[in-house]
Amino acid sequence: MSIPVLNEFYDELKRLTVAGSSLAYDDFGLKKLMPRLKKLGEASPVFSKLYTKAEELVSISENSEDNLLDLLTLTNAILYTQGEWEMSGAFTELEIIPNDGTTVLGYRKLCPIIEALTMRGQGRYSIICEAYNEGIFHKRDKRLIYPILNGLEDPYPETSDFIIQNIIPAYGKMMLPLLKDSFKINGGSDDGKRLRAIHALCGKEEMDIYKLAASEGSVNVKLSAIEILNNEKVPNDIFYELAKDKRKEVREAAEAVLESRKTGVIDKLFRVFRSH
Amino acid sequence: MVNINEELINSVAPNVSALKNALDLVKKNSFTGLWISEDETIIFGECMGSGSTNYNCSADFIIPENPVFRCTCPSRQIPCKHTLGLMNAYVKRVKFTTHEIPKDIIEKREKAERRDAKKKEVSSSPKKVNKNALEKKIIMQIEGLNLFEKVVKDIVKGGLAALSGKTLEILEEQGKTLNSMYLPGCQRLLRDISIAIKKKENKELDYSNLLSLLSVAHTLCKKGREQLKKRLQDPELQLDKDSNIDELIGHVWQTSELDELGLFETDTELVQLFFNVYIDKVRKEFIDVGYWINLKNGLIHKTCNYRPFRAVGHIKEEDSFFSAAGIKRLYVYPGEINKRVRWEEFSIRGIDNDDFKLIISYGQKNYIEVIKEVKNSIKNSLSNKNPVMLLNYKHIGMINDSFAMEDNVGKRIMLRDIGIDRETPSIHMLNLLKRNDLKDGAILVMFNHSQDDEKLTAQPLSIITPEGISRLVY
Repeated sequence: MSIPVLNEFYDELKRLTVAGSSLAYDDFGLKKLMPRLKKLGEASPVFSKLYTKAEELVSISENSEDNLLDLLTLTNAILYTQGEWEMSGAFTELEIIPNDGTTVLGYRKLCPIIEALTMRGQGRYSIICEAYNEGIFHKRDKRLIYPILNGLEDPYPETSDFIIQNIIPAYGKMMLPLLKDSFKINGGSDDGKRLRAIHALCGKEEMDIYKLAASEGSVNVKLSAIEILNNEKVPNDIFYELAKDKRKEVREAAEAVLESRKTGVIDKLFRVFRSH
Repeated sequence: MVNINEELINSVAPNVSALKNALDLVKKNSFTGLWISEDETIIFGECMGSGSTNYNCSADFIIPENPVFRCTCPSRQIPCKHTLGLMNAYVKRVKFTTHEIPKDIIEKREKAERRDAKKKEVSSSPKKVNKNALEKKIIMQIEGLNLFEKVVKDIVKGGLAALSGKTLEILEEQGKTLNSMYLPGCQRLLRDISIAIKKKENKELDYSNLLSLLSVAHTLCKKGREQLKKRLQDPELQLDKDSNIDELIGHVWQTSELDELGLFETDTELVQLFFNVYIDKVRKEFIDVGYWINLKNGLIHKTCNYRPFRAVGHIKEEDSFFSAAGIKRLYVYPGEINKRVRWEEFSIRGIDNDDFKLIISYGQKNYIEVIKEVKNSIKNSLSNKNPVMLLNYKHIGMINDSFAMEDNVGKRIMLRDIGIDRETPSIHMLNLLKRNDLKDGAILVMFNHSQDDEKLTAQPLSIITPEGISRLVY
C-alpha cells in the first residue's frame, strides 16, 4: 500500500535532482505529496523520518543538496525493503527435457567454446574443432547444449557442418527433442541445418519428418530434405515429384539427384509420361 | 609426498594457453628426463625448449599445501608450461625414474627454509607502526572525503541536467586528487559517476543509475568520515573489523592486518559452488569471482581476484574448482553476507556424497527468514545488492509462467535471471535438470531487487542434491 506514494515521492526527488536541489524550496510537486507522507509517518517511525526530512527540504532553502541526498538514500533504502517476493497460484511441475548431460567442465574450458558458438568473432571455427579434438564435447556438458543449437545458425557453413557431423552426434539423442522443438518446416536455411542435424542423429528413424519436409517445407528445408533422402537411398518417385516443384532450386536439386542416380531412358520416359 | 591431480594442475596454471602448451610438451615427448626423489617429495625433469640447452624444471612438494615450482626457462609465469608439463606427465603416469635430488634444489630448499623462519620471526614480533605518519594519512583521508562530498553536493545542487563536458573534466581531475589522498575507492566511485554522466549525455540510460551512485557516494562520505574520526580517537588507530567501510574507501587489506585483528579461521574446508569472470569496463579489469561454502559452518564466502587489463598476462587467471580446498588459515575480510576470503596455502581433497549431504544440511529452510535477512542487507546503500545464499527447497516448478521454488511450509520465491548485462543467464538450465533434482535439494541463488517491477527474485546458480552439484553457470 505504501509503495505507490513512495514511488511518486521518489520520482519527485529524481526530478529535483535533475533540475537541481536549489529549486526544492517551496516545490509544488513535493508539497502536494506531504499530506500523504504525513499520514504514512503516523504509522511508522521510518516514514515519520522521511516526512520530517521532506518538510525540511521544502521549507528551508539552505543545505538543500544535503537534505535531498539524505532523502534519496532513505527512500531508496525503504524501497529495497518493500520488494514483493511472495507468489500465489497453483504450483505445477517443470517440463523436463530428458538428458544424461553433465556439468563437469570449468570456466576456462567452457567460456571460449560458448563464445565461439554464440558470437561471431574471428577464429571461432578452430576453437570449436580444437575443443572437439580435445574430447570436450564428449563430456556432454549440459551448459553447451543451447550454445551448440545456437552454433547451427552460424553463417560460416564449415562451423554448422562441423556441429552437425561431429558435435551433435557426440551429445547423442538428448539433442533430439530440442532440435525438433526449434525446427520449423517453413523456416529458413537454419531449419534446413536443423533437419540435417536430426538426420545425423537418427538416420532412417525419422524418415517421416524428412518426407514431410520434402513435400511441405520451405525451399531451404526441401533442399536439405532432398540431400537427406538421397543419402538414405529413397526410391526415385519422391524425386520425380520434387522435379516438378514450382521453385527452380528445388527442381534442380531433384534433377541433380536423379541425374546422379543415372536413371535410364525408360525411366526418363516414364517421368515424362507421369507428368502429363 | 607428491600428490598431483588434474584439479591441482588446473588451479595453479596461470592461464589456459600455458595448460595447452604443457599438454603439447607431453604429447611431443619433449621431456628428455623425468625423475622423482626417493622420498617422493619432488618430481623434476629436463625439457627441450627453444634455448640451446634444455630447461630443468621441478615441482617440489616438501610442503604439500604449498608446492614450489621452479624452472630455468626465462618465462615470467609460475608455474611455466614446462613445470605444468612435468606435472601432467606425472598425472598421465609417464614413467619417472628414482633419482637423487639435484644439489641446486637442495640449496634452494635450505634458502627457502631460512627465509620462512625469518618471515615467521618477523610476523611473530609485533609490527611497528609509525603512528604519526598514519595519523597524518587519516587526516588527509578525512580532507579527501570532504572534497569528495563537496563534489557530490555541487552536482546535486546544480542539477544533473546542467552537467556538461567541462564538469566531466573537472571530475576526472578531482578523481586523481582523491587517489593521492589515499582514497582509491572514492576515486573509482567518482569515475563510475563520470561514466554514468557520459551515458546520460548519450541518452543511453535514464537517471536511476546515476541517482543510486550519488546516494552511495553521499553515504560513503558520511560513514567513511565517521569511521576515520573514530580511528583517530583510538590510540592504536585500528581498522574497523566489523564492517567493510575501510575497504570501500580504498583500504587494501594485508594478511598481516587480518591476522592482527584475529580475522581468520583455522583448519577449515571450502567447496566452490559457483564461479564467474566479470569484465569491469569502467575500471578496466577482469574480476574472477567464486562463491564457496565453508564446510565447517555453512557460511557462503566470496573470493575476488582482480586482473587489470594491462597486467592480464602477469596475474593468474582463476577457474572453477571442483574439489574441497583444505585450508589451514582462512583469512576472512570484514563485511556482512558473503564475506570475502583468501588463503595462501591449501590442499586438495575429492568431494563425495557425504559432502553433498552436509552442504544440503546447511541450506536455509525458512524463506521468510531468508527474505528478511536479504532485505536487511540490501537496504544499506553501501552493501552488495546481490547477496548469494544457499536455500533448501521442497520443489522447484512453475507458477503461471514463472519459475519458482517452494519451502516446506509452502512459501515461494520467484526464480529468474538478473539480466544478461549483470549475470550469465541460467534459468533455462532448470529444464535440463533431472526430475529427482527438483525435489528436496539445496540451491545456491543470487538475489536481486528489480527497480523496474519492484520484485525481489532469485537467480539459480547451482543445485546440490545427495548425488552431486549441478552448476548452472560455471
